[in-house]
Amino acid sequence: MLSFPSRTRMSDPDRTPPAAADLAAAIARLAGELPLTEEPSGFVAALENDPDVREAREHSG
Amino acid sequence: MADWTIATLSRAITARQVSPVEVTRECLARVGKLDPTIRSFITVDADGALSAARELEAELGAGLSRGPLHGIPVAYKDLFCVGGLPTSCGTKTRDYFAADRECSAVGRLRDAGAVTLGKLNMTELALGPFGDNPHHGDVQNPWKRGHAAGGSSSGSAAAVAAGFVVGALGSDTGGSIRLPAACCGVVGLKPTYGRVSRAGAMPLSWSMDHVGPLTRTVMDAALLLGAIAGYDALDATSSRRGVPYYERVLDTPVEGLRVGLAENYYFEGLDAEMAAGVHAAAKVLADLGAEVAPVRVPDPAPLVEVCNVVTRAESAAIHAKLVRERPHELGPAVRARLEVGLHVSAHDYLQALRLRARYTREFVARAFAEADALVVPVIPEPAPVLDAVKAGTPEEVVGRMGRFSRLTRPFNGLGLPAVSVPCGFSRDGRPLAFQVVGRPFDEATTLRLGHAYERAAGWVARRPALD
Repeated sequence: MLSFPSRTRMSDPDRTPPAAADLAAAIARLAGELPLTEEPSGFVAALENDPDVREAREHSG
Repeated sequence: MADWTIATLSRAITARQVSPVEVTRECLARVGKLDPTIRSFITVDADGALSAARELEAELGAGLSRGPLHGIPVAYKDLFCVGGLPTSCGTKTRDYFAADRECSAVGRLRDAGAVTLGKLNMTELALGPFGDNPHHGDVQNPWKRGHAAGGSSSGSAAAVAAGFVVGALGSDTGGSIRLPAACCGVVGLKPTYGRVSRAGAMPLSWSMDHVGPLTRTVMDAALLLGAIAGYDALDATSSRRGVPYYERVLDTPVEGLRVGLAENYYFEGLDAEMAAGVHAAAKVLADLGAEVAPVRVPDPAPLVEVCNVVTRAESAAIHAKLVRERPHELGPAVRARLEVGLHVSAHDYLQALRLRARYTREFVARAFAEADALVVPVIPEPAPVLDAVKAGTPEEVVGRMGRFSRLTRPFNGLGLPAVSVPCGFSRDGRPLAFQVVGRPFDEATTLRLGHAYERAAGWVARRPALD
């Protein structure tokens, strides 16, 4: 199990870098409207399921 | 050697005008003479390269050819595991990264007949867009010394631009193939996520990393992509889609292709010469018959914030041991970026992944509703002065890094194919570039447009003055 010096623990809010707080604030702002059905793996599915790719003759990879 | 491309060199080797051993010797001599200034290599494997070249030459003598890459000299960013060679990942540690077996993409190029000259310099841990490295030396831009080669695949771009090799592999987590390609005036292709196996390449961010080629021409990028693309059981995210014969579609006229010139976000605050260069490139495509029109794409700014969360969290998880045990070995900006990732919660990471999925579907549906491909700039300004981008506090440097990669990162988050193509020079001789972005797995159309532009514009004939 990993252990980090106390200065980097999440439990020490006074030590959270401003950049990390900015990231958390951005997610809080953006994620409010996410539907319950949205899954973390949806990104790959979005690429693989795009039907409109015009490909030339294919060979196996 | 400096004027060869993969395509022209392949024809010369096939015609027995030059042998693989002669080519390898000439490349090694050029590296030995000029790379002490450019600093593109971390490891030169002269013995291994010559041994491989002799074997390939013997095969040709026996009437055997492995195809267009037979005897072609290449090199790899020093985060790809290559049999028998150390992998520093740009760190102080010579063997920072080890994989169970050779990188799949490297193995495919080796099987196709490519000759490995060595391992290439890169930004420490692939974290940074400028190509500086405190352990292996800052890679110099071959077009203008003292200016950034771009990063993190800095050595890959500089080695191709300098004519040390005719092709290289790089990795791209936020622009790390396209940024150095743009700075150094070469072609850099980030394929669709899943198109090329990541197995055997040091990860920086599993869901954002892409492996791809850097070459002098778009045709050469197509040849390398064709060799390395395709399903690999060793990479769980590798796609099972078939791989087109990219090189065969490049000469299909671009007449009638719909090209969207994304006018929002991408041209905001852009250097005037860069903006003029990209618009001029779009005009060339229009003159070739493409239907070029301005379009508005979904705002990439929220996506970039989401990408930051994902990348910071994943990279901190990957390099936690190094950050914990040897933070003093890391450059200040690299350390600062990794430490932020330690503070990203699981909740925020998962929400970011869910947002990314939604943004990707929305972007593909909207941006490509009326366009077959997008044209946007790659870098906000021509290659900046190295000393200037390294100056200041870690926070200032990290902020500068973010601004320099703001035009490439959205397409890592979206996983879309994007090729950086040179489109001229600034008044003081620094390369300009644009990127063509396509639908998922439609590298063929992006390469086709890039190839058509490249042939019409003719910039590829210009070479940096090194000798």
